[in-house]
Amino acid sequence: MDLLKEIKKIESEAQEKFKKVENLKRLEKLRVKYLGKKGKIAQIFSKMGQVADEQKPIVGKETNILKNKIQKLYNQLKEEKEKELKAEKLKSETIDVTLPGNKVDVGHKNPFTHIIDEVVELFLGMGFSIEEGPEVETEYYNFEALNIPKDHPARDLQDTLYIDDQYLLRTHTSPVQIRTMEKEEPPIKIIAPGRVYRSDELDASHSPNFHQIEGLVIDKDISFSDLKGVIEIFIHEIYGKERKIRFRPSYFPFTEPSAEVDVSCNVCKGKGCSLCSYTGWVEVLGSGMVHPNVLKMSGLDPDIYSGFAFGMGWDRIAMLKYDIDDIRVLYENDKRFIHQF
Amino acid sequence: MQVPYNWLKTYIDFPYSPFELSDKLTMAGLEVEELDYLGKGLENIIIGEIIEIKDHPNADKLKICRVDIKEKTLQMITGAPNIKMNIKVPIAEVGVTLPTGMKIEKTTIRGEVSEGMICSKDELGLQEKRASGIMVLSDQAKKGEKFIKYQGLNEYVYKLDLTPNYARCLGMIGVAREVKAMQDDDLSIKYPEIDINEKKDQKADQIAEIKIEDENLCPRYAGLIIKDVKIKPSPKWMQNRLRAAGIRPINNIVDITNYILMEYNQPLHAFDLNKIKDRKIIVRRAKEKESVITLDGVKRSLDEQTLVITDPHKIIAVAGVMGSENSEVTENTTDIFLEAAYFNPTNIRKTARKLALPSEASHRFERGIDIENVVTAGRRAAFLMQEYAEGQVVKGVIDNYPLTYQENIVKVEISKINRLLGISLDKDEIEDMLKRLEIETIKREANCLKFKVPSYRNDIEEDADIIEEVARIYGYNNIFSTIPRSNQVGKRTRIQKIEKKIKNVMNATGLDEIITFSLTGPDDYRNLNLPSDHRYMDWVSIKNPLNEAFGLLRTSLIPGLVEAMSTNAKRQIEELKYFEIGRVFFNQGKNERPLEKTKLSAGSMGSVQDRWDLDAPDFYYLKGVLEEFFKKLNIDKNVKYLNGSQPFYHTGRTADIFYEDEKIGTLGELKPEIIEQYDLKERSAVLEIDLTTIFKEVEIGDYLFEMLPKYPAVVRDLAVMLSEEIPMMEVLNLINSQGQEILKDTELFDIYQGEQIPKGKKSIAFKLLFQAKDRTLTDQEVNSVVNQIIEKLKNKYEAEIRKK
Repeated sequence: MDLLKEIKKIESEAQEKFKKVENLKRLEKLRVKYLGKKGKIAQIFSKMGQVADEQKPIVGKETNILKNKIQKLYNQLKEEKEKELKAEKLKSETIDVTLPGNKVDVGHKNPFTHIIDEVVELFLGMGFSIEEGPEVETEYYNFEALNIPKDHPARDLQDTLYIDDQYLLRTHTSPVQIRTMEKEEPPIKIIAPGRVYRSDELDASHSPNFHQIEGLVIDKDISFSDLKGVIEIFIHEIYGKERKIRFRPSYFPFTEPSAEVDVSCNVCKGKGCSLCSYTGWVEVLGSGMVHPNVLKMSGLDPDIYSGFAFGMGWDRIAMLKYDIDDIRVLYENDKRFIHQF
Repeated sequence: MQVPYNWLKTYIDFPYSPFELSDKLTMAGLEVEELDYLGKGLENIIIGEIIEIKDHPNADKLKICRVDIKEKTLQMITGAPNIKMNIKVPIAEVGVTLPTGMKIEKTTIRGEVSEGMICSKDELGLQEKRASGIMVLSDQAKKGEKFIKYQGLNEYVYKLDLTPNYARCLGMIGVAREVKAMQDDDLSIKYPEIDINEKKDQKADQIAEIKIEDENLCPRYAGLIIKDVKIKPSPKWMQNRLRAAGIRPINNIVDITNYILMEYNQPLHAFDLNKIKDRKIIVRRAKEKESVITLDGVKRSLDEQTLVITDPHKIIAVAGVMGSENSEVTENTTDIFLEAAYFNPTNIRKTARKLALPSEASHRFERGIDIENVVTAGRRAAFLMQEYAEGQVVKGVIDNYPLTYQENIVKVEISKINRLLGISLDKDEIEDMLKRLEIETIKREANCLKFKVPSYRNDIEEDADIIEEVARIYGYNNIFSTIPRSNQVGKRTRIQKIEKKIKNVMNATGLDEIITFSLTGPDDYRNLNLPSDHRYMDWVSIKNPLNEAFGLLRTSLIPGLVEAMSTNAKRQIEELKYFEIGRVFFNQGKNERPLEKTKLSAGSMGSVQDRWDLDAPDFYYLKGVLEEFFKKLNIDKNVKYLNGSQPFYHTGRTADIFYEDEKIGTLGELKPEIIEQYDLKERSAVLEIDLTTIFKEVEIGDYLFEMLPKYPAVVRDLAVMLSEEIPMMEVLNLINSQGQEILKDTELFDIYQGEQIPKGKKSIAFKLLFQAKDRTLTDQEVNSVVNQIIEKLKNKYEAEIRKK
């Protein structure tokens, strides 16, 4: 009977002690104290010899119940305490998430490359190839084959830098049209980006060295309405769908009809401002149907083939698109400038 | 070409406001560059008459005036020396702001009230120079009237940027014809009045004679004679119109010739008839070494290509370009010989260029004027001289016209028009459109139309020109947009793909892309201390450079790169890494095509990480970039680096880069003098690679997958000490050559030189990674290879093994 009383006593004592336990270390000590090999429960079992036989099953049962209870209590507390410990550890490892990150070196694309990548992707998608040509050209490719004879006033439109009697620096990317027509059979669909040169003093809007992108399509039955369609897709892609487009008559010796293409001014939305000289329109591109003389000189029969060509300032696209008001910035290569792109 | 709105309106009564007209002109192909209102800021200036002048009681130099502005009189104080009774003057009342920004207020000057201001020319913005007194208007000016009306400033002026094919619009009538063509309603052109009372007692060809010696250079030359002219200012309205068109009035005769130039696009020249010897005009080529003093007082030497107007003794004008002093109209001139001619455009263009004498006349002649209208324009001028110079026009025109105008007939296929423009018009519609441009149908065929082109349309030569006119009248913006059908696939060429890949690798390794000028100057190369036989000195010079700094084509990307680095360093940018892909040009001898090559450059400045502790962070940054670059192009195995010796590099810190046995580039730290001169950060390094070989050798997308290892790797460290002279590449090559298939990677991870080891030696440490495809390696296997490596190192370099 004493043992049963003792069991009750151990139980209430254990309940109390476990409840007060503070950490895993104390908990372990309690486990040893009650559940260990020499713990209180083990001691009861060791006293079983003193118990009367008929009492043995009862005491045995009660002891086992007690053991299970304490074990359960222990398990429960252990889990709790471990959880707390983990949480504490994580808490102690808290960092300032607002601190700046590691310095990562990333190279930046040049704005020229941004523009041409966009343009090239668009035209590749429309089945165009990319052509290039020499920057040093002959009179023939730069002028004569483009229907600009010697002593024609059209030569005044471009101030040319010459190397010697034979060679000059191309004043436009249009010679690539001729070179392509000479080596390829229609259908021809190309764009030709590249550097060009003019005898212009360097200032906010002129540079002796700048860039153009040329386009040429030659096939049977190519019409002015095809020219319009392709250019409209291009302009909407590059300058935005909301921009209005207008085609107006102009003159280039190597196209006829020729059209200058304007887009509605983005700064004033067509109302008129200093950027668009109060017209509401900004000139972005020259274009036209390839002149029959040009086709003939390149060995194509204008009664069979027709085509259109267009050309634009690559620098100008960058300036309009990125709101750059001085062309020199594009060639100064200030890191803070390039890192904006 | 400057076109005043109201002047244009005298030829065609269009219903457009100045702004509407601006848009119409631009859309017709006559691009309006600028639209100016001449009276801007002068709208409130009125005309007053001085009706009383008193001395100012408290100031010697000031006068008190009473000014009558019709509805009232005002008191004003002025110090102008030219103030007089009953003169008409421009007045700014209280409240008016002048174009200079000055606001007129009621003031008291030394006790006397001033209720406005009597203005001078500069105060009205009519001249820049400060005027010495107030502006005095003519007696005809009406008091109370608006000043802009009197001065002809109530006028809008279009500055047209005309392309060469719009030469016909270099005259007001030409512009009027375009306005007419753009207008659906039938407006007609009001041609100018010509009502000459001919002096019948003599005929012009009895007084003077014209002889053309070179009819190709002068297909038509007409002369008119006007006698008894009075040289005086031209009428106010004419002066106003000329001024609005940007031409300075001079006297009635000169103004009339200029007026006709602007009206008919016909340059005229007035000679003093009595200064022409024998009154005989000879149009001929100049003789070699002949010279003439032109109107600007400059002696011009001529050659046989120059067409001149002469009398039997002397040259009196350079045809179509400028007259001579010896036959000039002066105050004393009474009789005029008026030249109206057509000269060969190309010849005039050459002469004007050669003499550097571009003029309003030569500008028009070289673009081609209307040869059929020469006499009409001359007669119109003679009429104006009769009206405004009291001249007596002698009967008849001496018209020498050896090369008569041939009518220009152009045939056009209807289907071609529609096919090329993407529209569908019928014959009638096309005819109607062209009729508006005075292009008349002369023959209708089944599928074709034949047109007669007006003589003033020298830009129309063939069917393409007619098609353009149809498009213009139809309206570019009325043509539908379509997309050309196509079964082509767009793609980049191999070289374009490689270039794109290079740019991607460069960006990925932390380099920003720059674009520098390919036009450059010799200083950039001088600064690199290059010997005269250096390849970079083989540049191509520009024959007509803007200035020395843009006088040649670059032979290297390095000068531009260094310049860009310098710009940044001077702007307190501490660190940068740049690359550029661009063309360079080499001189191949006179009249030989220069060689164009594509090169890659890169530069590093202000890097921090110094992997080998050699104080060479920028050099090794670029080296790392190159390694990654060659690896990505899959040619790293074929590349090697040997000590180099470019004059602009630090002698001990430069390498030549080889692909197989071909030198393709250089890498190096810039030498200290250059770093200092360009204000760069110390240790800045650059590289340049010729991409020609790479473009030839590299195959894009040529990768082969290697199975990932299934068996574990064995790693061994190896540290050896050897002479500091031995290049690392040799050591690595030796180790790798002994690897026997199982050595997969040799990584150098430490170099040490210093107190702990003997002078002249270096200690180097490697991590060797062994792995086999088909088995787990045993220690013995690995040891045997490592030992073999050690033996070789010992034998070849007397290396000491520090640990393994």
